[in-house]
Amino acid sequence: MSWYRTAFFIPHVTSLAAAAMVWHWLYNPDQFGLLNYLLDKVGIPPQRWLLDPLQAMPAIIAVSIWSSLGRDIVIFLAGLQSISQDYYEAAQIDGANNWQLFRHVTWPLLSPTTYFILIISMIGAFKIFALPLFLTGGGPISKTLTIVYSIYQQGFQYFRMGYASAQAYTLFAIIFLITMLQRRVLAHRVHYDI
Amino acid sequence: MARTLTLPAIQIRAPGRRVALKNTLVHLVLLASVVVVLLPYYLMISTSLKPIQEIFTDPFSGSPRAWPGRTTWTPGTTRPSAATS
Repeated sequence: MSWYRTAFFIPHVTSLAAAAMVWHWLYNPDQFGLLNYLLDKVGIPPQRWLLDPLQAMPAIIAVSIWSSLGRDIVIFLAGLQSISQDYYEAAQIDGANNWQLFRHVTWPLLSPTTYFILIISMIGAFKIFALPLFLTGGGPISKTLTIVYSIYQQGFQYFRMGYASAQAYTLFAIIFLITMLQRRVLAHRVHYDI
Repeated sequence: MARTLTLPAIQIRAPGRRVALKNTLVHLVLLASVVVVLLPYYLMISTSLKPIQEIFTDPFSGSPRAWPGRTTWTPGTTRPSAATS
């Protein structure tokens, strides 16, 4: 159990820059790319991964999930462990099956955890910067040009500081509005007790 | 608690063969995910031990043929290409 937890958590404590270098190699579009090497073994033609406008963003999403999965697992695990066993026993005595146990005990009592993970993941997704920087540089036809990467590009590559600053404030407003919206929509569905 | 009740509808499932099978399946899925998650780390370590030709011809091999000869880790080796000697 704790071995699995450790294994899944390792990517989260790895420097994203170092991990991105390895993934860059995995995603290499020629036959030296390790994923293409594996695909070749099962007879699938090599893919262009980060150079393909359709595949670049999913590829970045995969690395992003890979790096944040451990954090979410640990938080969900803590949430699950904090649910008292009494609720399950009571529901079982009332004849609840496994699905009903999940739907009416686990899911509602896990809702504060889910709510927390949803909010920090959403904010984290808006802030994605390192992966486009190291993997695609904004990507084929700007397909992986995330907001923060765009801020960096405008401010420190094109030296349009005012424009970048305006983008940064807009990003703040967007995150603020979306978090408020989530709060408005979801807060009354979060149960801290049965 | 449940044991003291005598209602006939209640069945406390004994950990039998079905539970064991379920646990095995869960562990198989977890182990497969762990392999996928840790693959980049395996590559980092195995690549650091291999001479440069082997990195490209056989990227997933774990037993570098040059090992335990000169690798990138050998003192005095400054460049990865030096490990190819």
